[in-house]
Amino acid sequence: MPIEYYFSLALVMFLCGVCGVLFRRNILFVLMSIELMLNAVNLVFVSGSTFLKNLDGQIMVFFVITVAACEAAVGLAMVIALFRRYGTIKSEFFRILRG
Amino acid sequence: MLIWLVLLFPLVGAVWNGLLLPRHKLLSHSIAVAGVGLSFLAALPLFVSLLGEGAAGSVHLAFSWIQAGDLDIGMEFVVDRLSGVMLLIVTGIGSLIHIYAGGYMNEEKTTARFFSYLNLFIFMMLLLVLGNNMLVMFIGWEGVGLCSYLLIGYWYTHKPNAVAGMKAFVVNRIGDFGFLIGIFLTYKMFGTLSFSQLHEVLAGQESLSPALTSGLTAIGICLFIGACGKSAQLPLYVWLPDAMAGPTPVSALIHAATMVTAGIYMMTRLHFIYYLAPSALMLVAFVGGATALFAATIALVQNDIKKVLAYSTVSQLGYMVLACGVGAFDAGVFHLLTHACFKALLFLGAGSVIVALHHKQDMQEMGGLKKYLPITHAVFLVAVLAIIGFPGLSGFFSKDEILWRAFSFPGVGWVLWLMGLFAAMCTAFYMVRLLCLTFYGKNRSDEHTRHHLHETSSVMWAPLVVLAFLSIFIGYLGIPPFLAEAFHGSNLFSPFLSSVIQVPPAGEVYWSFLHEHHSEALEWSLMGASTLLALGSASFAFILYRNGPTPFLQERKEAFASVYRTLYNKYWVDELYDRIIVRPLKEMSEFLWRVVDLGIINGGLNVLGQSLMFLSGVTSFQMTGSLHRYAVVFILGLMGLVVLVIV
Amino acid sequence: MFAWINSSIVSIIIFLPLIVAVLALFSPSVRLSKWIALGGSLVTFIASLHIWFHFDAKSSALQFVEVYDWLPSMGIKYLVGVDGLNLLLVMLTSFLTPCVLVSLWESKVTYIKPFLSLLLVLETGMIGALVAFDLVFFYVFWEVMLIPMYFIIGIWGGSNKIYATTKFVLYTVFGSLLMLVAAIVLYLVHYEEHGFYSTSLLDLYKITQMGLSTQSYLFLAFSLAFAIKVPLWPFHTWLPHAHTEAPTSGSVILAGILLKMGTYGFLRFALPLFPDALVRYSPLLMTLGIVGIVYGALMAWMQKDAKRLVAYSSVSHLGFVVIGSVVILNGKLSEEALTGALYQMINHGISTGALFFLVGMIYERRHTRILSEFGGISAVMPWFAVCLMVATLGSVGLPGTGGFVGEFLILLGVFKFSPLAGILASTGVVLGAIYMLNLCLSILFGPLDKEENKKLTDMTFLEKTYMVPLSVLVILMGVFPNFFLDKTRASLHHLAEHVSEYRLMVSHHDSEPVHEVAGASDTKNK
Repeated sequence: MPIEYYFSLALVMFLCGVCGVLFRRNILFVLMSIELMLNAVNLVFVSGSTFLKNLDGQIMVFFVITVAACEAAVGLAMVIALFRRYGTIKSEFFRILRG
Repeated sequence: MLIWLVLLFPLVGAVWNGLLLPRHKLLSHSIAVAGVGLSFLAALPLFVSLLGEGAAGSVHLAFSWIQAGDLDIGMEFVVDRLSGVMLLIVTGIGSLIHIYAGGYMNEEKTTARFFSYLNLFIFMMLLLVLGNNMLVMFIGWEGVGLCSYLLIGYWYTHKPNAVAGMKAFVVNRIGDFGFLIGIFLTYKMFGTLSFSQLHEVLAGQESLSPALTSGLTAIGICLFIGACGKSAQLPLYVWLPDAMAGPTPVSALIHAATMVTAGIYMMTRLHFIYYLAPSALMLVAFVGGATALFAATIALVQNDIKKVLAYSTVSQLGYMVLACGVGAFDAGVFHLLTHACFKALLFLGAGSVIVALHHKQDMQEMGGLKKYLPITHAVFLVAVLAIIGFPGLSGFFSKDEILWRAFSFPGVGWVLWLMGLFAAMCTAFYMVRLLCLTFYGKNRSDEHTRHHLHETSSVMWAPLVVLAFLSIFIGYLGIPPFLAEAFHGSNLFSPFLSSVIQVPPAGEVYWSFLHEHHSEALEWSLMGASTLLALGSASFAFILYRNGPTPFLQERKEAFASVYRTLYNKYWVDELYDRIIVRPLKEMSEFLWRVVDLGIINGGLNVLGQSLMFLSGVTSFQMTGSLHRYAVVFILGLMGLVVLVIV
Repeated sequence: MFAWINSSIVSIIIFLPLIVAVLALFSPSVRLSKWIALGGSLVTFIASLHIWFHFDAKSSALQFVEVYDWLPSMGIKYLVGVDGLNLLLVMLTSFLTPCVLVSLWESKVTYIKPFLSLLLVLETGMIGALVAFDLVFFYVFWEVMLIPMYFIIGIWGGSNKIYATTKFVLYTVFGSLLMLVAAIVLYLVHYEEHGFYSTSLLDLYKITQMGLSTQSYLFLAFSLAFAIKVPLWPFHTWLPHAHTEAPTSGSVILAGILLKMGTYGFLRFALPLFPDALVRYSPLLMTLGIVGIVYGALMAWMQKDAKRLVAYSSVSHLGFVVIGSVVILNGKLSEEALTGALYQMINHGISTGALFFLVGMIYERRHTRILSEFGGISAVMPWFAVCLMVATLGSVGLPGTGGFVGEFLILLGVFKFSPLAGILASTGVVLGAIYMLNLCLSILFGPLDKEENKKLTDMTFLEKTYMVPLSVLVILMGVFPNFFLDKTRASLHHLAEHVSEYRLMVSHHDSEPVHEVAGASDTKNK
């Protein structure tokens, strides 16, 4: 299969992720959308790596997966903490950064 | 070796009393007396070794004190005839006053602190006297000021005492400021502060360049400002009358006999600078003469016994400064010596009176004490006669010497002489007034006090008797030459000091009149005139006051009300200083603080900070706190960037 | 073991307090935490005594040097050492810190453990900034000093603490950021001239080709950072606020040591790095210093709050230090004035440190510092009275106390440079007597008429354990100044004589890496 297919799929996944981040109000979904974006990037790395016969991309993917796992763990922990404290995880509720 | 002992004993006494604070009064008293007494005993052989013909001074280095760059100041001390004389005055009179103080302070609970300060004072005074460079002298100079501060405010729970102490310290500091500038100038010009090196440099000059002369004049004036502070001369004398708040032995020791003479000693020590700066000396002479006269007039009407003595001290110091000013340093030191004896005696006698009256100092409540305090009266009478220049007593010789030397000063000498003469008349008047109001007439104190009146203990009157003998006889050390010839004696004092005090070669032309011969008739007539005037003034006072304050005196007082008030209020000098110096300075500081510091500098900064906060408030409207808004902006921005890069 | 201690003694005194700070923070009990902190700071003091006794006073070279490469590609090294300029200040720091810790022994401060460890971190920062000879490390330590102080004032301060601490930090950071920029420029200038990167001061001292305008900018940037720290008039307004709000121990450290970092910075950086700019701006600094002396004194006179009074007196006293540092005669610095400036830093540290301790004591007992609330205290607190008197006399520069030696040498040098400046600066001596004696008068003397004051207790044994040494030091430093000055003479002479082509050598009797200093920088990083 041509590489463009993989890239197109990755692009679609990425845009889904972006839209998710932009339009979902639930922080849990936002986090999942971020995961989706990261996986889209992973897909690009893997396919590129195969295409170029270079292992760097694969290695990068491992990094990304590790970081994504950490991020998910921290993020979910914070979401749980927020829910316990405020009883909601609606993102528009948290606006203390307002200037 | 002895010199170290001289210095060590008072220091040990001060530290012992100061740190261990012995409860027992007798113990602390003995420690203090031993501290200064042993020092006196150690000083005696030192002095004796200087008596021999042409005995030279010696310099002793303890250790190098400050070394920085080219500056190397040693903790070095000089023992020569001048410091020897001072050494004896300080430790000798100091010992007597220490003994007396034990009796005077007998009502206190503990006296360790008092005697510690007193010993410390002696130590500092010795540093001042013995120091062989300006800086060591300056340690003593400020050190005695510190002790004076502590002792004036000894009874600190009474606020005016503490305030008087502070006033003394601050006014002295103003003088010390001048002294310090003098030191800097000296170092800048000569690169050394050591007396012996300065002397070598200046005595080696055959003639002086104008620059050097003006430099020396500046140094002389600056140092004289220091002397004005310490020796209570116009315009810095204001602290001394207030200093009478301290215990009377302190007034006797510090504010009459020793510390206040430091200025005269310093100028004499540096005579080689002053001889080469005649215009500075001219200033010195006039300030001295003016002070002598000014203070004497104030003393005429004061009612506080110690205040009279204080102004009398200022006036007598004026005499000494006048002597220095006309180049008669030896006469100045001679008067210093005799004055130390009779003024200490006067103060201690006044102290006995004050103790007997339970700390009353107003002469209007005294009178007729002769009956109750016979010994005190006798010695007091001696002292009064000595100070007014009764022929044959010590003050007669020293005061006459100064008047004569002032008169023989070319040019303006007669003006100075007149000032001194008039001051002498005032002195005779107020001293006899004081004597009459205190000891003669009817007793005016209340019944209770009178009932408890009795002669003081022997520990108090014994030193007085010694001082009385000194007041009578010490003058014979310095009989004027023409009198000496008449009585087949000789003047011992001036020749003794002449090995130290000499006019440097470069100044010999100007000072040639010092060796001029005058006709004996002139000397006789001047002496006779001044003596007669003083005695006349004294008898006038005696006639007026022998019965205490009478209605007649009251009438006179009212007739000359404006003069009386001016004198009684001391020419309003304190008020004047307050008005023109203290208050403006305070107002300026207040202004600087409120307006400049809090207003402009601090306020300006706060305005800066607030305007930044306002700016951030203006620009922070887009920070809504909504994650989604941020994300949208972020993505849009990213897209914009991509577009930019591609296109 | 001994050899190791000897060769890394400077690192030990820098980092030991840091380690102890961590231990103190996590120790199980408060009591243990105090013991750990005090023990650690005492060991640091003993270690610094080791430096004092093994210091070669005859040499102006950098001694006890330790060099390690840190980021070789950028020429950043860990380079620390001791010479005559910083030795006394290091001693002062390691001496005052245990005093402060003892003063906290029985205090009822909340969160005592973090407080103790912040003080120790502060010690690390201060000693580090003093001995660092690498710009990057200097800068890091310089900022490390700031953070603990920020918390000390911000957490344990008085009623207006947030305002005070924010002001303090903003002021200082503003200055130090400019200094950072200047340091980077300096780094590049050095690269252009010598062809390799180095942040070592020893290399930067070798810069010879720097135009006057560049020098001026850099000098002003460095000077501003230091002037704010000193604080020089008119950058002083953070100081009264910081002092009024800071807890006693914070004030002691702040006045005793932190302020000296500014004046030390002048000696170490601003003077030798930019000699031409120094010549150009020395009149400016001298003017500001003299204004500071008089102005600070007048401000102090007006204060009703004892601590604020002492704070303003610092402005006045440090004005002396600044003018003493910048006296130029015939292209050389005046050695007398320079010696006086350095000595005055130590004196001020001791006497003002003592004054803040003393003010803290009566504050702790009476919960007020307003002068009119006191009076006649010396009847009930004789030890306190003696210590306050000694500290006051040291502060007004009475002969026989250290303050006199410092002020005298400074004024002597300044007077030789310009009599007018000398006379103006000397008025500070008179004004000093007025406001300091006013302080004594209000607190110690007068009638003991307030009921609360009658019940005051005198200094406790613990309080005496640090006040007595401080008081004795005030006098010892005045009577035997040479004992202290001997250690600094060679370095100050070297700085004064060669300020325009200042080179700091590294002493030869030290360990191996030393010789690499010159070589290392030549070969690497071309």
